[in-house]
Amino acid sequence: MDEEFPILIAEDDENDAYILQRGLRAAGFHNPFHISPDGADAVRYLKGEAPYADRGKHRFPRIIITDLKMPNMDGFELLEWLKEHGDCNVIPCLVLSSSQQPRDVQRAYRLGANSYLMKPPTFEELVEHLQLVLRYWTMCQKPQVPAKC
Amino acid sequence: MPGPKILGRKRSLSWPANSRSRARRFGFAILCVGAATALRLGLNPILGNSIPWMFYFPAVLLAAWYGRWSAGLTATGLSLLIVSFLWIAPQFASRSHGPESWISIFGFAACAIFMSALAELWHRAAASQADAQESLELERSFLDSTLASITDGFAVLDPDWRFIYLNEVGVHISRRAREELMGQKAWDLFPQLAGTEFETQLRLSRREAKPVQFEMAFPKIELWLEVRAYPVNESTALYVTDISGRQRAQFELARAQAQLAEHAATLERTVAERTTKLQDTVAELEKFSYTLSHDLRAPLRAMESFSTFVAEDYADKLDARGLDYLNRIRGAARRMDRLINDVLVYTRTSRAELKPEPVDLDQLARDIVSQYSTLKNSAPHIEIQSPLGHVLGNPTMLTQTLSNLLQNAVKFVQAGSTPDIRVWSERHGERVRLFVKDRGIGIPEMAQSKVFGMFQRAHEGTYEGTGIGLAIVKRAVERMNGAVGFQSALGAGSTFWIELPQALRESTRTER
Repeated sequence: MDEEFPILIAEDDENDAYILQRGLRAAGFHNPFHISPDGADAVRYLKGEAPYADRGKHRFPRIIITDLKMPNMDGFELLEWLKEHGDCNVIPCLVLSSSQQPRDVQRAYRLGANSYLMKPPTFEELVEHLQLVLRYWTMCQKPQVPAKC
Repeated sequence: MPGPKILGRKRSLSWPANSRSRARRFGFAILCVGAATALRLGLNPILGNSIPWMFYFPAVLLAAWYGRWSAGLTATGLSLLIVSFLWIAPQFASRSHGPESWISIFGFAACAIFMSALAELWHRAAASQADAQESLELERSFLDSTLASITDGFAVLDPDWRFIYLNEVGVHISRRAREELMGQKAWDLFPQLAGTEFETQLRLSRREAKPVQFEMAFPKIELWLEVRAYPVNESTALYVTDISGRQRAQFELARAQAQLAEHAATLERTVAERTTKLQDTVAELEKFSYTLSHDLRAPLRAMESFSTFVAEDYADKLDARGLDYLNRIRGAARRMDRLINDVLVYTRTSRAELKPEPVDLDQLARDIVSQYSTLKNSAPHIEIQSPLGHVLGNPTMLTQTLSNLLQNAVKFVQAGSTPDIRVWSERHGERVRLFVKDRGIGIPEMAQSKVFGMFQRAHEGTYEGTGIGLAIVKRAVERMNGAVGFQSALGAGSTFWIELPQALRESTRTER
């Protein structure tokens, strides 16, 4: 994957954020990434609002990995926001949640999630899954991304 | 009220007209004439031949009065014979009477016949009057007893609305004494009836000369009446039926029905309330499941992952024991996660909405064997004896069920040996029984009764597991209207089976 472009991670759990970060490195991805503690922050990042106005420093992401259950704005709301903002909605959005409720899975896909992954119980499995998914997205054609949206 | 005319026994001043009485009548006539003759003969020395008929008039009259017409005539004939023979000159010669003698004879005959006829007419008139009187009395008493015997009230109101007749039931219904009622005007006796339907209807009946029928209620005294009024000339005949019993029964019935309806409504309300409560509970449960799956598992993930990081990052600073402890933490976290997962699956199995659909068991078994890593990693020998057939069930639940059975069959083998599993099915009437047979370690007899229970582990410690797998199988099969069972002997393997309704048409399995 193009190392120039970061990965946007929306995850409120610090442990999970750290594990995911380490998992990405372990899976061989050294892209820069930004971790938003909730959906609202992720939206600010995508829109290039303060404190992410400097696009030189905070590049527009090439992939979004989001949790579902978050404060302020949860994963579903983030997906909805993306759906309503077509300019931003040009990059894959991957749901990484611990919920395996069929209802949640269905709702996420209906709102336009490109993948839905269960948070695996072991770090080993997480690395394995991340490798598979991110390699797949690396293989796919990438769209032009806007500076802001 | 016209009744059948009953003819009573005729009473009469004369004897009845049978043959015996006829003899008596003639005898009586002869006796009367004989007595008259005896008296006249006795007076002969004084009277001589003058006034010969003197005693014969009373004799004929007496005979005609008591012996009727025939006796009168008989007495007349006899009198003529005797008198003309004994007293009318020439004496003791039946012929050769002079004209004055003939006048006397014919005069007597005419008078006697006239008297007999008068007597007869008198008798007949008296008899017919007695008959009329009697039949009138009979009719009256028949009417009285009829009206008294009927169980409905009957009354007659004269043109001035006065009671001129009431039977006993009628008196009873009026709640008054007969003496108070008779001859009194209805509207004076019962002023409360003025202006009611009773008055309106009765006046209408009389005005239009037509019968009317209506019902009257007197709720205060719990009296319901069915009234029929028939105009009779200028009077009115009232026929009143006490229908209080019927009304009460209807009232009771209506009340019972209302009560029943109320009970039904209450029941419906209760059911609705309970359903709502249950739905709330289910929603709570779902929320709890969500919390369980999300919040409870996050710390476990952290425990597992950070133990891994410590083991990776500080491997050189840890001895074998330290690494073992970390592995134990990781193992415990993994097991806890599996446990939570299985409980969630079990809960979902218990309350998932089910729509039975035909499922191709052959395809299902092939899919499971190819997809589940645990079934591939240990390279077991799994023989599927096609065709297994089609059953009615839920594909997701059936996948869960069969994969649990297969994973158990693969798991519970002697360490180091390759699992040897056979899958086949048998038709049992309209049901299909699917068997999964292994040559594994089997289930000890002690544990056999508990294998389908929650958290039951027959081989605690030796084999990994949560003890929920078979509980899920049982619950899932039961939710699909199926049955589950097994045969097992320690060391000789186990054969588990599930039985489900056979699907009549081909599977239309949809990808899920």
